[in-house]
Amino acid sequence: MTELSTPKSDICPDGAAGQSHFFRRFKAQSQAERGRSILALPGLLFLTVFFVVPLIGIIVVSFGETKDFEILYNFNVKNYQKVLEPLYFDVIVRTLKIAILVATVSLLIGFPVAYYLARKVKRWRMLLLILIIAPLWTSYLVRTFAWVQILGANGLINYILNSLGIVDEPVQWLLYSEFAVIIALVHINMPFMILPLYAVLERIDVRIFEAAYDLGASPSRVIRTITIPLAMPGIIIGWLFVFIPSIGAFVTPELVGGTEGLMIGSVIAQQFGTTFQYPFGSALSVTLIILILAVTGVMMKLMSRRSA
Amino acid sequence: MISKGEMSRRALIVWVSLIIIFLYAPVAVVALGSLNKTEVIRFPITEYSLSWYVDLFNNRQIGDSVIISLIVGTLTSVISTIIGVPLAVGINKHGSKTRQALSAICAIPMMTPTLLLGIALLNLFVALSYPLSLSVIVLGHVVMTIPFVVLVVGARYVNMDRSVEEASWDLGAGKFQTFVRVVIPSLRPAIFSAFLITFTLSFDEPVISFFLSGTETTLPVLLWSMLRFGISPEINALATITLIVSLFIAIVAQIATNKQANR
Repeated sequence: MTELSTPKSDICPDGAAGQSHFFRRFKAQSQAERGRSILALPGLLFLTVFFVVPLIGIIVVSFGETKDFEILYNFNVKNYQKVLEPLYFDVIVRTLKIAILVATVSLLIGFPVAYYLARKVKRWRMLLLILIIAPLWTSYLVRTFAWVQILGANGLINYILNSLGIVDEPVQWLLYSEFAVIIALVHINMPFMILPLYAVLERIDVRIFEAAYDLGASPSRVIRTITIPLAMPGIIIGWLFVFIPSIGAFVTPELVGGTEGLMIGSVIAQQFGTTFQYPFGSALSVTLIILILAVTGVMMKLMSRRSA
Repeated sequence: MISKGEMSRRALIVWVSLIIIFLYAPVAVVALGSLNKTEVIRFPITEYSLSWYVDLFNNRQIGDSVIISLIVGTLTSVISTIIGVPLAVGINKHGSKTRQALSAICAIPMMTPTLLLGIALLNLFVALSYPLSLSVIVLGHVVMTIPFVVLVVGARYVNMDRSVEEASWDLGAGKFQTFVRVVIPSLRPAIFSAFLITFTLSFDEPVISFFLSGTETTLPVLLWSMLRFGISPEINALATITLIVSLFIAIVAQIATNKQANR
């Protein structure tokens, strides 16, 4: 006698054998998970209303214009034409340049520190980490205006230079210049560079280094071909964590930048102040956002290409 | 003969020390400057005095703004934590794809410059003809700080032992009941940290407060306008006090987190 029937499960998986194992598990899972997404909803709703919507509002207003302290919402690109004028365009370029410089300098300065913390020290690591994180808990306003007292004509550095006899007159370009802005921004954002770098470097398995050294690689070769590629995600993230606040900096350039160190943040702030030029300010802001997104995109591309 | 490895190690130590000095020099200068007897800030400091701290106590304007900042900071922390903790837990319950996307979305306010946060909200409230006030400032600060809450609490939740949660469900507790009575208590150190971080961020925040200020204003905004007229030892004294308070809170947060984590 031949087999007249094949096992039921071959013909109809969801048939008499009951629901298939996969389906039953899925249903049980979703029952347990059903309370989950509800938890996140209020928060997401809040962020949508008070973050996404205002940003969309900025985009909308950027296409409007002001007339007698009223904002008219007619669609025009006058504001963006104004953004391209040399007066404002130069400031934008300078802001971009400063932000890139600040992020890159922070990377160069901070990498050795993160490297030391992650690979070279065990006992003092906690203490050093706390020392580096602690400034983040303090007001950056305070830390910024401290630089006025360090870089000023009557400040600490000039005092040191003068008493050492290196200069006769106070050095003027230390303060109220691009230099001052860069130093101050590097100082404020340094922990944001060191922390991601440390996190990434700390995770690299020691055995990779041991293997490389066993195979005869020199320390510099190891750093070039192993450490840096493996650390790339941290490098990119740290760079962005410094670049983005720097390009949007407003308080710092106003305190230490003078006219030379004018950044787009100050210009934008003016538009939303007494001048009431909201549409133009919005256009500048949209330009800033586009710049941030563009640079972030480029950096992310770099990250995926150069990572190990 | 010092080996090359030892030399590079010493160089690193020197470098790290320089960076630490770089990080703290401004703090030291501010603290020193607050003790300067003369009105004008110049080096070297010839006479020392604590008179500026005394002046601070008598300054009504500063006193009021400190109280306002305390109120704003507390409100911000409370609201931000209430919104952020469920958000953190809710996000991290999903599968990895959704979770990554939602985490990224929630992190964006943290990545936007406070300038943009401030003007965007200002624009919104002006368009709605809604008057600016302390509550508006709190709102702005909450938007700014929610990502930090999500980050800190989310990280802790991911590392939490889920089996306790599942056991609670198995024993018949509802989803919400489990959340309130099981999940939240085990997240307590992270929630506490997030609360403190949010408070300090809000207390020190100048930009958003500046744009959203109505008639009353917070301490950083007052400090900001005082700085526009120049720096005085009185400002340094105020700054030194805020620095000390911030560092004190940081230490408290660190100790509390370590203590509760080791339980």
